[in-house]
Amino acid sequence: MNKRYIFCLSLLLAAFSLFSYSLTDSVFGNRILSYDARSLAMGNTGITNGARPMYSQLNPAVTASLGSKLAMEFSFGSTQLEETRSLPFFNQFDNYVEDEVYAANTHGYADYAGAITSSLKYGRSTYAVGLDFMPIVDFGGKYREEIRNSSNSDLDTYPNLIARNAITNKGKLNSGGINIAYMIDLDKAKFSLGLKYASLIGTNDQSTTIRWTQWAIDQAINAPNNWNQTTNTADPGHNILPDYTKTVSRDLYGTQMQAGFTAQYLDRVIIGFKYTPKTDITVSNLKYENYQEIFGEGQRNDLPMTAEDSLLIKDYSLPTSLKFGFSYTPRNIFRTVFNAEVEVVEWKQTNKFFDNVVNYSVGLEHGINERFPLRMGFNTETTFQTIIDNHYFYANKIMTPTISAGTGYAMSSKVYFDFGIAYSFRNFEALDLFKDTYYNDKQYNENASNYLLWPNSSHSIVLTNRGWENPDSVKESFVKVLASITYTW
Amino acid sequence: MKKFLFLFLCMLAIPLFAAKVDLNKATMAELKTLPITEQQAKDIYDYRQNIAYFEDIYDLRKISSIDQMTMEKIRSLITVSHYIETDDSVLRRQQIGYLLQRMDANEGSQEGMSDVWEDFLMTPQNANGMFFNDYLSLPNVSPVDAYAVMKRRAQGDTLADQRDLKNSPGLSYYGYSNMKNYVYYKEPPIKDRLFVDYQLKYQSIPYEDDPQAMYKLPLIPQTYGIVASGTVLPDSVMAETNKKENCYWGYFHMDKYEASVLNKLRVRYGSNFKAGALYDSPAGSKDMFDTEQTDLIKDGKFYAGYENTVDLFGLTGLKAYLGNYRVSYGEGLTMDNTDYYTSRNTGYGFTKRILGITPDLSRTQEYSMRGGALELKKTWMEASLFYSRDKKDAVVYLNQTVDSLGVHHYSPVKDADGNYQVFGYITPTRSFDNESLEKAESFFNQELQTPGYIPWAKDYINLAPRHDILTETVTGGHLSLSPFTGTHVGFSTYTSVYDNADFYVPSTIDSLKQMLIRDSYNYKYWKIASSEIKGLYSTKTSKYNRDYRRVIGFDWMSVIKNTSIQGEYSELTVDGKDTKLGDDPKAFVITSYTQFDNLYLLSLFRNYDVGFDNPYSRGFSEHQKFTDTVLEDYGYTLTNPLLSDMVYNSAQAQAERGLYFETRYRFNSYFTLGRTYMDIWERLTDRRKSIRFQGDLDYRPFYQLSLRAKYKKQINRYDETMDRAVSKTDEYTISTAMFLSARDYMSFEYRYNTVWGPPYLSITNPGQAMANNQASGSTQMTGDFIAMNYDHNFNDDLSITGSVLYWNGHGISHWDWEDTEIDFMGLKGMKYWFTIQDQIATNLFMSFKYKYKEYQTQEEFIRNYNLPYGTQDNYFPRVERVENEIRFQLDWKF
Repeated sequence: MNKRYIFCLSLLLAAFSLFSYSLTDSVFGNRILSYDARSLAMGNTGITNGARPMYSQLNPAVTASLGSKLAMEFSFGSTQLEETRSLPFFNQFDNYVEDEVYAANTHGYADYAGAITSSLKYGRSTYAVGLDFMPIVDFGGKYREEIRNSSNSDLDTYPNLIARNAITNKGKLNSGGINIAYMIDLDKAKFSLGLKYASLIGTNDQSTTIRWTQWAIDQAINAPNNWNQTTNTADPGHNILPDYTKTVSRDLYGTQMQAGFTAQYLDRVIIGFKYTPKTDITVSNLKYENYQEIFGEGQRNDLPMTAEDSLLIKDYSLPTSLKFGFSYTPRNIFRTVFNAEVEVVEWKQTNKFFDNVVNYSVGLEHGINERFPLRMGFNTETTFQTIIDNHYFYANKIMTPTISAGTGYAMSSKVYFDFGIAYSFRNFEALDLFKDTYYNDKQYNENASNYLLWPNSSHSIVLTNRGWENPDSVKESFVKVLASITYTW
Repeated sequence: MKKFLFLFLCMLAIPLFAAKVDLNKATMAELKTLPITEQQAKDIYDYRQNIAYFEDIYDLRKISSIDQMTMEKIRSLITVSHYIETDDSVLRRQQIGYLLQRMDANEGSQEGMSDVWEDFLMTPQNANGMFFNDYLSLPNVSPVDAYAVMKRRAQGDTLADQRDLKNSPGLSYYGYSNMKNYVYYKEPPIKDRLFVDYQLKYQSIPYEDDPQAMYKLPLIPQTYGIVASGTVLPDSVMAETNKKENCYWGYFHMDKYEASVLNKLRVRYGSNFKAGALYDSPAGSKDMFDTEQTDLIKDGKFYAGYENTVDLFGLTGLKAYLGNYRVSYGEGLTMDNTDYYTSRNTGYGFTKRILGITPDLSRTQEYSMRGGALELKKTWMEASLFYSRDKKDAVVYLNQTVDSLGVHHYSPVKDADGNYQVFGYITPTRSFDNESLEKAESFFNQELQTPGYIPWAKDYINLAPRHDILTETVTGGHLSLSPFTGTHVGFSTYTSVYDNADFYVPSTIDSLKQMLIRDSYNYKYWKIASSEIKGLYSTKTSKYNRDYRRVIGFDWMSVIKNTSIQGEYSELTVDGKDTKLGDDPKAFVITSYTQFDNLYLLSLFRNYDVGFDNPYSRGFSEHQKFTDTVLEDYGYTLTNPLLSDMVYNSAQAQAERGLYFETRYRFNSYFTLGRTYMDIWERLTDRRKSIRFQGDLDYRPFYQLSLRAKYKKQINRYDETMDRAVSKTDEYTISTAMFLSARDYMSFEYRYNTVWGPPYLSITNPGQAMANNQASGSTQMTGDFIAMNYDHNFNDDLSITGSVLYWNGHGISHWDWEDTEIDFMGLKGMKYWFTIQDQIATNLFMSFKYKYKEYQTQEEFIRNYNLPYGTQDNYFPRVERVENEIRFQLDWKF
């Protein structure tokens, strides 16, 4: 096999490993803006250029400007998410100094997408049709946290592990669509119009668990005052620590329409517009469980739905998006394409506490030579974090900037390989995912005067719940890698 | 047969006379007529459209589908007409591209002035029609240079061309080389036309050490409860008193990633009609699309104006502006309205003031002028008038009232006239809206007054910044007469009228202490230097009662041969008469500047009274107003830590008296003594005496290599018993810079510094936690720094610059000049950054910067968020911090 094929194949394989986002978006998911490596490298821009079949996902109108009778593209991608949660620390003068990381999670996710387009030129007109498939919202997220006391830490050994907390979110909202486009070429100008109909199908499973460790259970069973428990007076030596489980499962389906338009003038300037109206998604097969259960004892205590869940999980919709784009192909020593786009997302439609936001994206491609381009891009996205605090519901804006770069290789006149990498980061505050009072074993032990699990409590953490007066500081960074291969006839 | 032969020859000759296909002009259809494939024709067309015009036919070989054979085949059929750029603005920009780039790089320190100079570069002024101040306002042009040119013109001479300018007697080489790009002689290089400049800048908030510390100061220190009750409170109460939200940082959730977005549009026709608008959404504020229309106008900046030289009883320069404008006179003592402080601003070299009226699209908000301004210039006089009415941020007094239900209310104090009582001007680092500030203060005050605790001496926030609370109307002007070329005497004045506010400062130091400092235990931190606060201006005192502030000033300049002597005297009317000099707080600067071809000598004497509180004064000084006062050094003792912004963002000079010398000498092409200065000064509040010296020597054995050694020393001597008697700072730097090729430039720098101070007594205490944990107990701190910088130009349009640095501070602050901004670094850490500059198209420019920085923030013990005070096994020696910073800038120049 040719060396360049081996090289490209190895990059494809390297890219195929993961995909998902923030835990904070476990309810609304994370919008995936594009699933094409070239677009990703150019700041997720591309509503004006029909450079690749997958651009039909960015704007249905560009399908007609692809310029080949038949074209196929497949993309494979992976995302690595690193999330750290920190607590505030103060110096001896009580100044808030910095945050100390108490939980760090790095997980990877993978996915794929594909598109096929066909066009027919007749006189000045070009007619095109395309099919595409891609995930448009990702609900995935994993979080693992260990609860330890501080005993033994000064003896250079690990403190006791009391419980393991886990959150596992799965699911995606996939879009399978068909689009039609028409382009008319008037020598100096070209105009394209496109429509897209997509069927959206997805699932969303969320699971939150707290599992006491065997060490903690043993402490409880062997505790001298265990037998004092009202429920176990006849049979002392039982486990008294309830594990916690919450699961949410729901199916999502809906249909989405998109309309797009582009106008090109003199090969140099293209303006584009895409309109995606608000899409209501039907939530079905909603299953909700929220309970505590003592391991080995068979006692299950069902709990009501949490206030946040009751507000958020029953309905789902995607807001209206208006995207305006500008593409410029100047005369440059490097063959150059410059894209700038502005998106208005009407988040207000989905929740009255949200604002409409404006996202910016800019992308640049320089052709180092005819086969080897260098791409870079920058985009910002504003999303919302929903907060319920003392029965008050409000939303925080979170801004995520992304810088991206990439390259590609024209393996032949028909086969293109593209590779893109993007780095995003955001800092925000969030409530403790697992409140500290849950690990206060006194409450399970007839309010005993001493802790079972926190032997050196006088010098350790005070088991009170932290509210918004002492929130977690969360830092997330994403490294997304995409590889696409395109074949044209 | 002959006829047939003739016809045949004619047919053969047709190709010889037929027009060849011009590769730089041919349409696609014409290219297709060549004996090449359609793809080859398309590639040729594509190359010309997207990459470059053909210089000659051999450029065809740069296209991969055209081989030598094909080129040979068509060479007789093609031609290349030379492409000549016809757009004069593009031509001019190409000509001065490197200067524009340098200008952009200095934007940080020359807030707003770069725009004016950029306009002058694009549309130069007529060298034979400029006025003295026009020359003087150009970067790096000295009064001696301006005089040399004006003198020639006064003698009836005309500057014919660049060489003629160079040969002007008395004009230094530096003066000439800086002036030449800003002037034309006979015909302007660019005709009157429309220019449009649009800039979009996105920047994540850079870490600012001091303001960040200010926002993190606790409003309710942990010892509050202990001091009150005399016993350690239970854990649960402790957890409450240490809530993160008990500081502004936590309350306003300032952990979030935030960015500032700036939109700037400038439009002008030639250099006569000018208009512009700017909207800056700093980090933490609403973005432009979220902002109410009225706020867009209120917090945005805009101007429209007219400038020309007309014949009005002789050659007259005319400027008229509406909207935001900048005013600067003389040495900047009476009026120079920027929000930004520059230390050692001599008005020479790169620390220029553009004299007179100029349009203002800088980010200056607090001291910006909004209204109308008019300026008239003649060779023998200059006159300008301005009027502004704008709202300003200020620190106001808050009143505490308790209603019948026992609920506390806090509101700005109003006096008998219904006016707000104002303490002073402030430029907040973060401009929170007034409603949010009120809510925060109410929350903090409530926490401060928890029942059962013995309250502080001042148990509520009694002073606080407020956005746009002060309505200020400024009227002023300047008149200067010039009896001889290079000599003028000027008079300037302005009056600020406050419609809705009175400035009020307590009359005794004791009452000031009680007002500013929360706990009487901390009154000892009010050192003599803090008496500068007492010098703030009051509109109402026992001696007078008014609603305005008035400053008058005189400036003068005289150039004699290669020496210029200039100065300014300014007086703030307090309790003396407007018309009498010397009876009020005053400030004056006198400067002498002597210039030779390879050498200049600058001496400057200044003296600013403590009571000279002119908010629009930007004179030469070493320190900002309120440096080393309780507002800066002991922010944690203040009733409201936000008052520290009065120092951090102060643009005024500190009251000082001193003598400053500066020189630069180019020995020969190998050795240059770079800008070298010595300053000896005394701070007038506490009589601290200081001396500062800096010098550098550059050795350039050949053009591509430069070796430099730099030395800096500062000695401060305090007479105050509370402070160390003497501190000495030394800084040694060696650096080397080299051009590796025409496209590559690399430099290294190593810096070593020490700070020496006499030991504290506490050094003899046991070195254990809570007893003697201060690094400052040492007598000598040392720090060093190593940096490597690399520039690579891929071509004329694309370049990358980057740097890697490691530093070790131990309390010594390092600084580093990045591409366009200065960065301060404490303790130890490393960082790298790179900037990509890309000219995407003739009119479109992009710059992208990414910075990664990791460092230790504080070598202090830290305590867990909810642990009892005094628990010593939860202390950690330091914390590390990681920062990502992005700057993205797009410029469209049409």
